[in-house]
Amino acid sequence: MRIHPRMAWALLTLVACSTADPPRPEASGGGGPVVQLALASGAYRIQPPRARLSQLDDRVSLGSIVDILVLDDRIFVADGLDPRIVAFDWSLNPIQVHGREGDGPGEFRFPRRLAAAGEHRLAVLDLGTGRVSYLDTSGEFEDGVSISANASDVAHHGSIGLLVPGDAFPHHYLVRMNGTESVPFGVIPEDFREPGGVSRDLERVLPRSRNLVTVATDGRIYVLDQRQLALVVYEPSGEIVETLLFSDTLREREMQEANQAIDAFGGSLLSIEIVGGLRPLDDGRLFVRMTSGDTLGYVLEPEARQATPLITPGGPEWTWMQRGRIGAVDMRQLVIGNNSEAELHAADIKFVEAGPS
Amino acid sequence: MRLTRLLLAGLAAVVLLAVPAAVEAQSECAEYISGHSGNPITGELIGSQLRTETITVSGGVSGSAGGVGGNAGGSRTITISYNVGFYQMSNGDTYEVRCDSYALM
Repeated sequence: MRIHPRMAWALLTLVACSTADPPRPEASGGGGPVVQLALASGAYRIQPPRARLSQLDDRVSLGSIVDILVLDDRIFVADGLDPRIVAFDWSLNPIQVHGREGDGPGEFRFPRRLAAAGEHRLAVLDLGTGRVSYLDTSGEFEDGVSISANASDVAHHGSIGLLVPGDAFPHHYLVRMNGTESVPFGVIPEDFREPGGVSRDLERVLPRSRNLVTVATDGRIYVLDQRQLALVVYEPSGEIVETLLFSDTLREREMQEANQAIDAFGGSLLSIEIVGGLRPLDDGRLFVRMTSGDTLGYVLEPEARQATPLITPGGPEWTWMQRGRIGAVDMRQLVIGNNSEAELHAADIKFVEAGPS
Repeated sequence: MRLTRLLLAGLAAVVLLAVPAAVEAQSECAEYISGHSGNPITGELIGSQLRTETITVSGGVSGSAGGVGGNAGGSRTITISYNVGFYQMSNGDTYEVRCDSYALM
């Protein structure tokens, strides 16, 4: 069997990451076991897109693609420059436009993150108005709740309510909001409270308030710590289940890139989000959006402690995908946004086994 | 269309560099940003947020003589507002950049 050069490169990277990893730590200081994620032997490869929505489409023209959520078989896109939420079908036909620029109910300034919020409902984190708005999937505005303007993500848990990463509480990742009550949630493992080997400059551009959160189908809560490149797993009770770490090789490379960014942009650079998104998949797994060469992210299997890369189609014409936002609920198909052209693409995904070297 | 916007952004950056003192506290965010030649990373604006901060500064007259210092007038609070741009970078990261202090390098 012949192996494509790009695939060979991806496999070599996987092997290099696996062999360079240090032994798994046994346990952290009071934070449950710490486990390093193993890289799977295969990969999910995006196929050349089968549908496209151009920026110049007569039906709807997007300003920017800030976030994509797939819910109830619809694709919801948060537009950051023309503040609104636009719904599409899988052929990328626009179905509905929700909201417009403004401060009133159902209006947005900078819709930054979308999350599923129960049946037929989505939550929109708007950094411009400093609130989370709830919409039903037909686009009706339901409710809004004020949050800290420093929030970076939002998740909704059926039992414990709204979860928002922030720095309101020094020893917790999250603020839990249930009605008018706002309490700390997600205690930070002791080993992660101090910056440790992270330099003061990196500490500045990787603030805790930029972390991500999601709720998996089993109800467990996952917090992505941007500074540690680790996932801390919680039961709904707040108890830490375990901490999942990406490989040291990958973490070191990302930290090096962050250092180079500080050098290039100086004090104007306020923060870096290395991981662009954290989403539950329908089958209990998670998708973490993190670009590294042709790899656009990883499908995580928490039970198996395994990460499977999602890679671009072969060919230089798809390099724009490295910066694209991704929406998916399974690893059969996805929607990816091209921010250079403000275009949307829908594509199938295929699993490719690692071939013989 | 994008090329035209890029050229206009570049022209705007040149004008800004020519008159650096004219940067306003609430200046608009550039549509594109880039690193320097050693790190030619680029990014596109995907959204922006107006931030307001209140800072406390010591005011009045301060000085010292003969090893004894003093500060008359106490402190005062100042409210500042600035725009923060969110940029989708070519390496896949998202950068948050303070728009009134960013200058094309």
